[in-house]
Amino acid sequence: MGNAGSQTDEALALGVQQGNAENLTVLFDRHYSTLLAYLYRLCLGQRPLAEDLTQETFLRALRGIGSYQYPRPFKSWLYTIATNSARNHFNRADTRYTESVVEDYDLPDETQQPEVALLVDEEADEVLAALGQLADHQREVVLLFYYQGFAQQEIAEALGIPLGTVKSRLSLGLRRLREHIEQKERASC
Amino acid sequence: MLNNHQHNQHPVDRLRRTLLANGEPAEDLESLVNVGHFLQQSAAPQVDDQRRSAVLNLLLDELATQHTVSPVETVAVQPAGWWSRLGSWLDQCWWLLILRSQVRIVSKTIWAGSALVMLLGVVVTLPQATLSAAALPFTMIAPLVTACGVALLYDDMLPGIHELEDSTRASLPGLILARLVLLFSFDLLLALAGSVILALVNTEISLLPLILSWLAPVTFLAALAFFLSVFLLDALAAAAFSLTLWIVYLLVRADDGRLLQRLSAADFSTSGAHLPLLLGALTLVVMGLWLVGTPSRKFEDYR
Repeated sequence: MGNAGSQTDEALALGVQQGNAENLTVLFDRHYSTLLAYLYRLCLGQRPLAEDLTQETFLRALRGIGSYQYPRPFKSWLYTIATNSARNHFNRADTRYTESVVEDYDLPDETQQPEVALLVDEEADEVLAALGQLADHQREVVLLFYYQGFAQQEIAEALGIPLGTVKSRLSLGLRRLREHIEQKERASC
Repeated sequence: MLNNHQHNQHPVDRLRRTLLANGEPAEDLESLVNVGHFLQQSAAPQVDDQRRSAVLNLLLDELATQHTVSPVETVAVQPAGWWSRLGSWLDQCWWLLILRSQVRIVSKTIWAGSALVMLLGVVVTLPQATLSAAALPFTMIAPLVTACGVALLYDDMLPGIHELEDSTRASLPGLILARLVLLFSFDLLLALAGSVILALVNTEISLLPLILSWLAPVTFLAALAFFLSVFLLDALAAAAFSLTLWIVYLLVRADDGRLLQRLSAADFSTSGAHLPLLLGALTLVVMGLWLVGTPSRKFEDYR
């Protein structure tokens, strides 16, 4: 695969602008699974929708690759498109995705014992339900920060909001999740 | 994107570190970090390899379509002119790209404030044609504008400085140098434009002596303000010190008394003082940039 694998995302994106298919493949390999995971959680576990949005994100990124400006961080740029794709979808569908719509689960890992797999699914389901309690803008920030490993400044760039707003959304989102966890604990006692 | 250290960090540890840096109250910290443990229970979905391959093939087809050149287009393509070649060269100049990326980030109030005060300097100076170039209000005001702007430049970056370093491929000293160059060039252009206006409107004022009277002081005070703002991590103190130094110098120069005569002889606007001032400015900027890059000057100290 040549030396494309050792290049930064930003350098690869420049190559894609020139039509380099190898660079596109490397960029895709690097980001497909993490982007899918982001959209999967953003859609509160709707896997087919997350897969569609992942595909749409990559297509939109490729069609708009000419507008990518080096050396702007490519990852932030890609996640801006992903977040906008998700927002557009839910706006089009006139759907409030703050409601918990957990309806699709991953198949359990076959190497796990059935009871362990069930427990893991329940816990994952619980997390998605808790994320569903957050406002959309809070969920975006929490997901980007916690699961995608974005720095707060990167989130600010990706979402086009001030750094202070990122901090407050992260703080409020975590507090909301904490309340949800506490309520669940009280209910189970 | 993130540096290696952060990549290797566990998300919960990163959460704790960020919450601490954001100033979350100590009593809330552990319970909020526990939310991180809770979130950890959600595993990433398994990738469907068939779907993944299908998407990749779709993208490769799209890329091929985008870059297919028809025979008609091939005929129509003309050799790039020197203007477009220059444009594409500029588009790939990394230092120019960094400069361009920083233009929109520098606070607009710094640009506007500098332009406004410089304009005020021109207006105030217009009726003062009989004074020597070094004694014109414009010559006194120009260094103040630049020093204040440069001091605020670093202060403006401080709250997000750690984040900025994480999110940008350029080094922190590189980014700060880019902003310094931008603001200094802007102020220099403003001062040049002001000087040209003064020389055009009032024939009593000579352009070259006027420019020489402010050039070295502007450079030196800007460099001093920058160094102090990095050293003290306090833009206000840096600006105040630079302003005080400049005002004291102006007072000393204006003083006819015997006591200050020796000091007043050291006229910064004379050509003999230019070289030491410019060298001093260069030294201060280099020291400031070096300080910015040292770990002790980063976010932890600021916090």
